[in-house]
Amino acid sequence: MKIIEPHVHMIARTVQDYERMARMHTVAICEPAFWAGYDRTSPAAFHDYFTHISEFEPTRAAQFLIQHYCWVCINPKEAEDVGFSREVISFIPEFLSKPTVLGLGEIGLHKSTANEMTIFEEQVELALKYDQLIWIHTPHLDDKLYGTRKMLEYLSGHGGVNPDRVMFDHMEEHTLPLVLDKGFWGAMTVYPVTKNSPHRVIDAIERFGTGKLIVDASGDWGPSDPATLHDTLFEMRRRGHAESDVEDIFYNNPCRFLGQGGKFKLKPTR
Amino acid sequence: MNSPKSAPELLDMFYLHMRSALLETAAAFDRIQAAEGADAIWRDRRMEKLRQAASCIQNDEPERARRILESLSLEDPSA
Repeated sequence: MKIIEPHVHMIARTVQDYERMARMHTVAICEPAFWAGYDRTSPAAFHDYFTHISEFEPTRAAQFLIQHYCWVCINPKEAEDVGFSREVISFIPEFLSKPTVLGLGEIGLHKSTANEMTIFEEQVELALKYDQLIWIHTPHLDDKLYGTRKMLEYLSGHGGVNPDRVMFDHMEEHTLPLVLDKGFWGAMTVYPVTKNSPHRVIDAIERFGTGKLIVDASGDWGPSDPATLHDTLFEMRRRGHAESDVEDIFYNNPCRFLGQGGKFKLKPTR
Repeated sequence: MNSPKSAPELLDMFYLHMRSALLETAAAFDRIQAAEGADAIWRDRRMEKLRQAASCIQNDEPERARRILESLSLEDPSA
């Protein structure tokens, strides 16, 4: 079975991770734009970052027969400075026409401040203006429920947002049903400590089904591991699920969501 | 979609994991309680929330993971 990693920050990973993913049958990965582990000192640093993930990283992935796609945005951890954020937003459109850029992401909230919300709304409008898919970062840990509800309320009341074209990432047991009930997609992130375990992800699949749900590993600069995606796939098999359901979660559903933008080349098997 | 595994099968699969996770949490409480400054930290919001969350496991109501996550959630993180 082929596997898609829908969320990994390869700029922070070594070439050995590409090797490992290739050996574990990963055929495509997506890199949302996010915080670098430190705050950038100028908007120009974001221009360099977007260039890196849209031009250089695909060449690194291609050495391992992996298709690399990315998302661009001003991330919520650096969106508190509205003026700074708007400078970054001003050059996002030049990247949206690149062949491996899938849309706006990962936009969202961090501490759910008024300024973060302003920039979130402006990037939603930018996505709608350019007919782009949206990938949403929901806050971590104790801030998650409040921030998810706030973004859901905004998007559901917007009137112009198609929930089929929006992915809410980093879902857990308390936020996933809220997102699915409103017709949006949900992604569950597997992390060694701070997010979901493979066990909990499969529990959620058993409860909510395979309809609009995907899984990612979110490898980045902190304690994380792209192989946790494959650990979760193994856990789904260990729990006795049909191979067609496993394939839906780890290959077909990412194809179905990402394929809506017209740039993602892989197609569902059924 | 329901779990293809029966409850006895799942208990066999997860008993040691559950036992280990409970022991790790209990040992961490002991570690903190035995350390200098424990009296003050026992009233730390995080410790209170964790003790409250632990009580979710004891009763027979389902959706314990959701209830624990909700009990740990902040009303308004920006406040």
